[in-house]
Amino acid sequence: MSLHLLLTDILLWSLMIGGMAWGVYMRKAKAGLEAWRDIFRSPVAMVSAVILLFYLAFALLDSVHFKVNDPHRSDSGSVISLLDMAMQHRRTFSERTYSAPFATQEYTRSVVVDKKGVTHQSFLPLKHVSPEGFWQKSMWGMGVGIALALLLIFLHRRWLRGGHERGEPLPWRSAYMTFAILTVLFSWLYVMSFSFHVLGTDKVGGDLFYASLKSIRTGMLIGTLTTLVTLPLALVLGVSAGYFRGWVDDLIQYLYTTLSSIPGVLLIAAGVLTMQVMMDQHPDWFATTVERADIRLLFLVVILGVTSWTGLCRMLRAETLRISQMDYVTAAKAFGVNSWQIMWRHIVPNLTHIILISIVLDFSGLVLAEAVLSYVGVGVDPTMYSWGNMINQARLEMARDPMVWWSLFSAFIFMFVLVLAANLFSDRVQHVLDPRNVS
Amino acid sequence: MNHALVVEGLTLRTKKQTLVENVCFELKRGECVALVGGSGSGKSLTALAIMQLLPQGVYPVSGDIRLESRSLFDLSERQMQHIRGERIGMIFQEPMSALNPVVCVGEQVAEVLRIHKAIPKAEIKARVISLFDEVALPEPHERYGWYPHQLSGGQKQRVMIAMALACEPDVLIADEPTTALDVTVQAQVLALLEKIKRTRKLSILFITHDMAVVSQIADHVVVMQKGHVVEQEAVDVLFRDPTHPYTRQLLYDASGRMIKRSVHEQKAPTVLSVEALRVYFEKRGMLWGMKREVTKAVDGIDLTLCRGETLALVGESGSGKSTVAKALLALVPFQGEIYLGSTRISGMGERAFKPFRKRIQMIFQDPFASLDPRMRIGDILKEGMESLGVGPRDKEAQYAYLQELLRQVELPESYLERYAHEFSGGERQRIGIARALALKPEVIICDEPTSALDVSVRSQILALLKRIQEETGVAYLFITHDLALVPSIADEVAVMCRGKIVEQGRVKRVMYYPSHSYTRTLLAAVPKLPDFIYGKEDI
Repeated sequence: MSLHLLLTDILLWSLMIGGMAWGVYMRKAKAGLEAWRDIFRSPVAMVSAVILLFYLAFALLDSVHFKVNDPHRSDSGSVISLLDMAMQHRRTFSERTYSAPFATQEYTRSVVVDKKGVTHQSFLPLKHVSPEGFWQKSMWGMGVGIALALLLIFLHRRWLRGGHERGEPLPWRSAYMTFAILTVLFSWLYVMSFSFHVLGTDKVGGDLFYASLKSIRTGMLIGTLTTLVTLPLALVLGVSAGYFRGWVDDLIQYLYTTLSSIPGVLLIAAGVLTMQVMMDQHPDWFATTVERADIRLLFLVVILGVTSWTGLCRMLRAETLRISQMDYVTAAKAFGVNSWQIMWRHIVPNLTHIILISIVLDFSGLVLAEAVLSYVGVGVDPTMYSWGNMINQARLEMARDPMVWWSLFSAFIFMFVLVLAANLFSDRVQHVLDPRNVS
Repeated sequence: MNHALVVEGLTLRTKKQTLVENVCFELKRGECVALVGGSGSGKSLTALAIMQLLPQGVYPVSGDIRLESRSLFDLSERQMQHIRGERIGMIFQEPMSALNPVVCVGEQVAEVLRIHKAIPKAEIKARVISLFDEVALPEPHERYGWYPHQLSGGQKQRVMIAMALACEPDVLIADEPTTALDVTVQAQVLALLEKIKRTRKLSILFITHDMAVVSQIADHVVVMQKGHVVEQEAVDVLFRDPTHPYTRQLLYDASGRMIKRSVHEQKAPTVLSVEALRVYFEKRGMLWGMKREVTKAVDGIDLTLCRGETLALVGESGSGKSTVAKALLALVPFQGEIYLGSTRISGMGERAFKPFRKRIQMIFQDPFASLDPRMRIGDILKEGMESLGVGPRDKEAQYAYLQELLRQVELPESYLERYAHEFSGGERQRIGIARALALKPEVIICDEPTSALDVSVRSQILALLKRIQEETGVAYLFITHDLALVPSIADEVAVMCRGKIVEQGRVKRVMYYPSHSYTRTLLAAVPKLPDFIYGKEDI
């Protein structure tokens, strides 16, 4: 096996490293640090942050890819991630068709011909399920979870006591509680996943727990990478429009008014279809289906970014108009500081709160947008695991009798928790960072 | 019953601190009581407590407020709503934000009448118009249908007064009603309040920080400091014989006598001269500007500023005085000639002008808007030095240079590492001065540097500016709307009105023998302390 990073892996990791570098840099600025502490002073924000970090951990785990070179293995030549390796038992072996969560037999009857040559209908047992010892396994899974959670919490407490706790204490208790619950839950699910399909299987017998976990990366990627596209566009155009005014402003305003008057879905659909035609004509560009799906995801991110920068741009322009009237900008002009430096040193730093607020606010919107677009059929590649694709498949399952509820349910729960956490967190960020909320 | 309103032992607290403690005073019928104090003295909170409109988190712990023997604290919110407007009227500092911009002013006053009084519909309009007439709003019939943005600041304040008087209250609370207005308008509003007080036998609680205004309008004065009443006395007694040191300080600061200017005998060399300066703004019309409107902000002015001297540029709001400052810094396009020393700097491009920027610098009015909240004080001070190449390059020498600057404006050296929001208005203004001084300029334009500050802080800043001028020989162009300030700060004064200079000359001549009628109007409108204040030497 050799390391084989996909383009989106590199982008996600560099975004992470960039974010961390920015965090380290911000530690020096006392006012900024204080604002962040203030955000985490709310237990709700703390809980949401722990949940978001959990999701992020899965996304990062799923963003280290390897190429299998071993010719003896059945999947030789494919590209798999760390998460795939951990879930190997559910990735490679699949059932024949639907089965409910924790079921031991298939959900539908099949026609079987027995040894005597008599045909009858019966529920066939699942192939990759071992129902014996349910309680022992459960105890074991939860025990490992509790031990792991306690160990990490203990280490964190030691670290805090080592002089890293400053100022008013943060609501660590809520964080620990959430962390412990999540760890125990996932370690139980993980241990049980060796013996059961914990969230059931889909139409072709694929494990839904595995599919839901794989979808995390897709959602997180779209939520985070899209800002990489929107932010530079919105920042450069918004600040230039607000600072230079005159014809520059007219031009940029014209651009974003035009863009935002075209229905978003239409624009995205057109973009995705064009890109799809291009990719179909050049099948030689991609070595594997994983890479192909990855490039398609990247295209989707770019298209989403290019069509959704207008809102932020408008806000940044308005704020720049206000800031450029402030006396400190006049003072800088009186010092003969050139326009670019004024924008970089005086205007952009004073826009950070708007940028941060809109990044966290947009995140949940983008995760949902992916689901909607995949549902419509212009989202990510159909071979890629995503909540949108899961929901799209569940469309027919809801209509059949007896109903198959678990694939919609798992996609819904995973997405709901992520979006709820992101929204609650962004609420708090907005409350703290928006100067209008200072009481 | 002689007392309209009694405040007894009022104490207001938040969870963390006591804001107002044991405040007692009485408001007699037909009397005006002035509540005086610096910012943070608790005077506005006291007024809000009377209206029962305290901000969230502030609550009364003890004391009583009685309106004709009824305790306001015992009333329910419903009963209190009847008291507000009907028995106690209130006017605010900012008439612009107190009026609803989308409802015409007549309707806004009529609404008050409709809520509180059972008057037939037909009569309401007539009542409003007669109220407008009483507050001397010109053409009251027509003004009824006007919107707030069509009225001037003074007229808006008159509408507010009409609204407060609509239900014939017994008590009027006026919270700094003239602070946001020009002097001439202020004089008119004060005269109006005085007239209403007499004709209606109205009791007025007048909140202000300005001792000169107090001496004009009040019968009785309550001086507050840090939430306590330090002195209360009838107005003439208080002004003649102030007992508390804070009252003395207030009077001393208001008299503006602390700075004695030495008279220059021989003429100093000219550092800045302006000839026929014009700044016209073109309003862009619809689509590529088919129709253009031209506003003449500055319309041909001449100024001369000598080394080590101060030229005061006086004018009311909208007279174009701040635009002059911007033109001198080449921040707006202008026509006319500007000479810095003997070099003509007008007509230069930005690049050619850059070396001259360090010789002319500016101090701003609003200390909260003039410092970038995201920069350390050290970086703020360094910005101009780095951009224009002044001062030492080497890090240690630069640090010493910055420390020296802070020492010069009487601030601790430790401030270099801190951010602007940690400082008070006065300290921020000192940082603004240090920023200008960092470049060792020949001319500093001071654009109303003290009008956003408390009286006591104002006199400290003025003293600092004076000291710096004596030490460095810098010339100031001091832009102000406050004529009372001029004798203590300037050698020469130019009075500006609608973009033109109407009178210019040595301070003594212009202040005591004004030749232009506009200057005389301005001077007459300035509220004055009683003459004997100026006579006393040993306060």
